Amino acid sequence: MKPLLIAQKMTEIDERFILGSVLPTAAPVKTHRFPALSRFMNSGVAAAVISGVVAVGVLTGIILAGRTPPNQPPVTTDDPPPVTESTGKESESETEPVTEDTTEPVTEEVTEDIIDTPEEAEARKEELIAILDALDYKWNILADPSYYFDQYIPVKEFGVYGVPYMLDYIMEHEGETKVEELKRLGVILHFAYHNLGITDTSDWHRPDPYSSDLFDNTKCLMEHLGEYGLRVNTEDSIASEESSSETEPQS
Amino acid sequence: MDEQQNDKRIIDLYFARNEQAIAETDRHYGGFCLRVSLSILDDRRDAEECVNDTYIKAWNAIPPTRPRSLRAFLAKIVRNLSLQRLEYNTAAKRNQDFELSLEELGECIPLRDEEADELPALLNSFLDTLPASEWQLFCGRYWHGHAVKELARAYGLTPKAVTMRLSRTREKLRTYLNERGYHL
Repeated sequence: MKPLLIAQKMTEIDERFILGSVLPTAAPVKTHRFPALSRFMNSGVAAAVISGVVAVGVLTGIILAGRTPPNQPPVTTDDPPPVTESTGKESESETEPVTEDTTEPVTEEVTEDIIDTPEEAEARKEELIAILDALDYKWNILADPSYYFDQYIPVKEFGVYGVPYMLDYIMEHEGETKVEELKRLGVILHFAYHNLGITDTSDWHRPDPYSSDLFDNTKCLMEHLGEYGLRVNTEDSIASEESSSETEPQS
Repeated sequence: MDEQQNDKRIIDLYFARNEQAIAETDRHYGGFCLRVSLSILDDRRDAEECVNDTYIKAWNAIPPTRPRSLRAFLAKIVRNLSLQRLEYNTAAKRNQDFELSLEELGECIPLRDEEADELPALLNSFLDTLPASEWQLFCGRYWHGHAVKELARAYGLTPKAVTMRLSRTREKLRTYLNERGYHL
């Protein structure tokens, strides 16, 4: 076959192979979904950033952002959601119109039951690990985290409490190079933002549509990320660091 | 908003024949499409034209098509258009690295031109036999047209390791096809 014909026919391969092989960092995608992650992964100084001082200010900033009680409207500058008492299905769907499917009773029960407490998430740890194993996690989640998490891992069911377990598991297993470890941390951060429903670091006040207690979830997640010395060096984080250092000194 | 939700929103705009669909497509996938095209074409202007043509094709195809993944849908279109442009372009304007990847691939696919339609299914079944780490490198190189160095950087490998793995995978593909009766 002529090489060009081969290339043309290869275009028709299954979508999962196409999406699964999109490089997480190389493509200059014009997206504003994860600017912090994008800058972090593309900066070339990711190792230096991660091996540096743990960003207590960043953690505090996010934790402070998470202090907004779930039943109160978050403080946003450009896109404030409507004020509602999120005690029922109708009000939840109003505050987060994009998650219209979550109005189904089953989904609501799952998110409330699973994400509320760490103990319940702990009970699902083994299941999560089994899924990661089955996925050959180390490659799949690197290729396109959002795709694989969306398609194959019930992210919304595990919630943020799944992230620390994933971190522990990935860090414990197999001898990987430092570069790969850093990438995985980046992926986890990607996942964290994704799962928290945070689409932009300037949008940190946005409530997590899948969480009934954003503060606890965020705190739990960021504590674990902090244990691995993960720092996101962005203008937003610097701003958060400054503001947090004024209000709540960290050790 | 995750990619699925975002796709749904954009696709709904296409179905509503709202021209904002194009703008949103460009905003979310313009860079990605350009990257796919540039991996085939060396000329940015050509690549940008292919991306614009991709939007037109998407506009004409949606509806009735409702892509499961808008990213994959656009990627296929822009890749096809870029390959057509590559064929049209003079040798001087061709992307040498992509040409090299085509040569590598051509050497391990013993199908005749008249058997071309069988190739996608054969590749799917072959890729299914590979661990993810192998098919991701393979598709990264031969579908997305990434350079070996790019793949090495992305997957934390040395360029030599990437080259070796690709070589082994190509050999596996050749054997796979030979076993199924395809010989030159």
